[in-house]
Amino acid sequence: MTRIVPLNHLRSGHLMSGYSIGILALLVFVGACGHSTAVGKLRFKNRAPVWKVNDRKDVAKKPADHRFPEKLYFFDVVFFDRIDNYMAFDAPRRAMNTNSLGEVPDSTWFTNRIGVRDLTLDEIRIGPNEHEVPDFTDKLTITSSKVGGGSAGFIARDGRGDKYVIKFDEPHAPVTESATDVAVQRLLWACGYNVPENSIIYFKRDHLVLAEDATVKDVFGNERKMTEADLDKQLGRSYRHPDGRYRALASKYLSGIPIGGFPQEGVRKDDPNDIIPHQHRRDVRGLFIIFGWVQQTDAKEDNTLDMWVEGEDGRHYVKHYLVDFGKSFGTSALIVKRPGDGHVENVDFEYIFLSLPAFGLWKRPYEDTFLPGLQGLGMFDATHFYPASWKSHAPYRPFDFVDRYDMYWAAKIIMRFTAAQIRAAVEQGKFEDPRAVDYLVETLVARQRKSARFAFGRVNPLDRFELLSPLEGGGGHRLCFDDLLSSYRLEPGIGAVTEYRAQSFDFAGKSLGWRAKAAPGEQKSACVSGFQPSSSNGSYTIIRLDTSRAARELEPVEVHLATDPDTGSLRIIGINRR
Amino acid sequence: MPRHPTEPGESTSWVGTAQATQSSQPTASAATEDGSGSKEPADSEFDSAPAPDEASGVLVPRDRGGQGWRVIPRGLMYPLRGIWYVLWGVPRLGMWAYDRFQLEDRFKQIFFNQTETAGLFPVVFYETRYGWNLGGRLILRDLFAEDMRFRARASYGGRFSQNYGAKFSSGKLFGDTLEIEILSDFEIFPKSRFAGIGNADLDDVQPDMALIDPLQDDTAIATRYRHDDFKIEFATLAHLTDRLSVRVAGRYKKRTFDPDADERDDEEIVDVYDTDRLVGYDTGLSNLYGELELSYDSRRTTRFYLSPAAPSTGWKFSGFAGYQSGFDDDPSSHLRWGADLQRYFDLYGGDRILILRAYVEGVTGELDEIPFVDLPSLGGPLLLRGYDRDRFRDRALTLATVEYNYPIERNIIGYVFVDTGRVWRTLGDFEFDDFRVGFGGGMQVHSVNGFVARVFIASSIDGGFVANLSFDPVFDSRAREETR
Repeated sequence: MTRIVPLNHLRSGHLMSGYSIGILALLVFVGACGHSTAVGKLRFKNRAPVWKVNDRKDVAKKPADHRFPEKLYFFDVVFFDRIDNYMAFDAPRRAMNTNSLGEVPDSTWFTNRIGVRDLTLDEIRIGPNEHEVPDFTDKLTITSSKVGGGSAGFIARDGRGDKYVIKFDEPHAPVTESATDVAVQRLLWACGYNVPENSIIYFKRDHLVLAEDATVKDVFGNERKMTEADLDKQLGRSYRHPDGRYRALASKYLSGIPIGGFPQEGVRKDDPNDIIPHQHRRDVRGLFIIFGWVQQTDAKEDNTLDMWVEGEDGRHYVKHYLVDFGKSFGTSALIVKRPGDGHVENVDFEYIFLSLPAFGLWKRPYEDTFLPGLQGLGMFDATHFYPASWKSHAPYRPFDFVDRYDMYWAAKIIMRFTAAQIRAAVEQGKFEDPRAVDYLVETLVARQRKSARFAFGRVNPLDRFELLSPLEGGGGHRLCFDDLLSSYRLEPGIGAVTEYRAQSFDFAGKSLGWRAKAAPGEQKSACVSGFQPSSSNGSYTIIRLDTSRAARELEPVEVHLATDPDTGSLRIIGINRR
Repeated sequence: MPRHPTEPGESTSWVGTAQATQSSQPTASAATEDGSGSKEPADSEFDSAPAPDEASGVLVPRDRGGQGWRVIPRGLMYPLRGIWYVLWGVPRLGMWAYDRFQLEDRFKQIFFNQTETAGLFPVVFYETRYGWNLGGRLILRDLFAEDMRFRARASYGGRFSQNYGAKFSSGKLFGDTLEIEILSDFEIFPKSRFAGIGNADLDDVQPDMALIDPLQDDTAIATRYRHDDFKIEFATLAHLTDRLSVRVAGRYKKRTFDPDADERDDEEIVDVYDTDRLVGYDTGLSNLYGELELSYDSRRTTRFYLSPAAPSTGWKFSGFAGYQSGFDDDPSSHLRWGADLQRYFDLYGGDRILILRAYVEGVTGELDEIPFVDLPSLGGPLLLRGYDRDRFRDRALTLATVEYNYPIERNIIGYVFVDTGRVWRTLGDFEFDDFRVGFGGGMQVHSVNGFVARVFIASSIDGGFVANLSFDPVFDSRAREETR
């Protein structure tokens, strides 16, 4: 795996010691000697980048339920698969569901939201919710007890007839799980994922009424009539606000028929739209960075849900959701006393084998993490967050395949959040201590930047390419771009030691003779100017951009251009990150 | 030119100028015209879109995944993977069945009532050097007050050939301060150990060796004997403060001894020792014992997530004194006393703990008035690890322990220890000489709420290895009860 390499090579201030200068000089020499100036073999079709894929073709027959045998699942991921995966010699490969820019097109899995446009604060506040909260006008009608999951709760129907799962916080951790769930749900929705409509509700006992046919179900599906005593017993285990109201998480039933979580590896064979192995989906792999950001360590098949939905014109297809986010923000440390949340798996052989012979002399990376001492918060900070070595509770197969391009994609998305947008999402958790919101926003911003610094440092982070009109007088085209590490000011002073070099090539990879240099501009943007497109293959032109950072050569980025046959204008048709 | 965010959260929008013609950014078709809407794309917008595997637009796939040299090791690994699948087949099948048939829930459904306050269920466990123990337990929880419980058990095998017991605890019936316990046991131990009285090295049986008088001769030979114990006890525990408690207990105990032991690799006691000289062996024992115990316990964890089964810091002191008096042929007439002092030092992080312990126990009375089974003993998983259970007995014992605990995993700690101690005819004989020393290391498993088990491997200056799996916390001062 490549994800455990720490980022430490871009620390400015450590670069120019006498010893370093000698080493760097040698590296520059070796790099210059061995550096290739050619372009790669990858070529793109002359078409606009694809921003939507059609995986909504009619699936007339409901796909089979994908069961989640919890014990076998964890036994396999912890013991069996760990060795089997090594023996399988699976090749690392780039994600298969990206467009020619390396982005993820809209699909039943993912919808580009904050990654491509500025979400308003109201959009983030509302998230996917059709209504802010369930309708209590005609009371909340309890229809049955809740089966499954760790927390107490029941199933209810609101005044609009919508069905909700009502979940309560653990008594020893009031506010914590419910607030976290909603805050993270809003963030993940804004990132682009499908999530259920969750909200925080407060209600009094007399807001609840038992349906005449309300039942209590046990885990075997046996039912009996639900009584007021059953309801009161559930409520007795629940947190009450000082004003006497009960607090709960209301999660609206997803439309469609549930068919279980999506398998962490492979595809659903009975869903013809599901043709990209899930471990090779960038939107799933990229969760490594996004989950790391919000510390959603409960990554498992059971926290995903596929729904067989009916589309607009009566067609059916499968829509893929992420669910249950209450164990994010380090709340596991508080709820189930797991101090190494995000650092250690539930059964972590690496830690066991390191700890056993160390006799306590090894200070584990999370040991100084603390509880902020504010209601609703778990052990969640930025100081002890190491994006490279972040771990979920149990191995999650797509994370085994995460590569630097997936992480780059995900980091770009989370960097799009402003502090105000993060605050808008966190506030929806209805934390009862306002200091908790401040703490979370501050921590999320710090973790956001830490994640991005890590991910942007592992690729050549040139992005947001713009091809500007030809200069007057036949001066050629101009290509502008951002260096994300520099433009987000993730490494202070990096602009001063950065230089870009550009060359142009034709479709065959033959140099067109144009070369240019650029440095980060005042606004941290750079442009290279004056290139002429190739005269063959529809003006197919490749601009290779090399970046030299403190005398270190980064992998080049190739921007592929061709003339749009409809408009006759040169356009960007693809980006190849090497 | 794009506008760029400068500081975290200031702005992440970028705006193309009128000069811009082509961008690598999408046109954001999902957004409404004014950029403020949240309309999700309609199904129909996807109809003309390419299939998911055609999005990349590459003319030649970048990679085909898993091709090339990996085919060779992958092929070579197939037989190994086959073996791996077979090896793990049974446990995986077990896990599958556990989930498929909801065995845990069915266990509760079958053996517990709906509120899980009453249960009758089977138990199976294995104890090293003694074997399997099978039986059943009845538990009634929260009877008439919080934590009020009644437990009964019956089991066969292992250390016992038969084991029956019942225990009632008042829980919070009398509030948080006062608790009452009533318990009764009947146990048959078929293979208890006796190796003489005193601190002598273990010896082998010599041919034509005369029976040893254990009161006069401290020759130590490993033997086994059988005894049947019946006990009924009444105890009152008063929590004077959250750290200080007093326990008053009264107990009637009846014991009979039998040479028909499961001697395993050892000798039968009657073949080696003159059992006429072992107080109570031939006549049996029937006695009353009353005890007062004062405890101070300030041990606690220093991090909220640490299990109370692994305290970080604090003191524990307990001192007890009791008197035993026999009925009928039981000559018991002696005072029992003892003290246990433990100090936990938090070396780092609440889970690198140095534990120092000093333990002393004795009986005051004539040797021929003290049943041999009531002599304080050392050896076993709790007192003087590294030696077999009940390896040393005499009228007094002293023990010192140094143990270091360190974290391995959330619910596992590792530990290394040195125990040193010896038994004495009287404490007045004490000198720093001939101490026995056991040492070793192991792991303790606990849950968030309490102790689960300890396993260790230990040896001693006298050689040999002892491996032990124990379900009793080693630093419980009432461990002495377990050894008798």
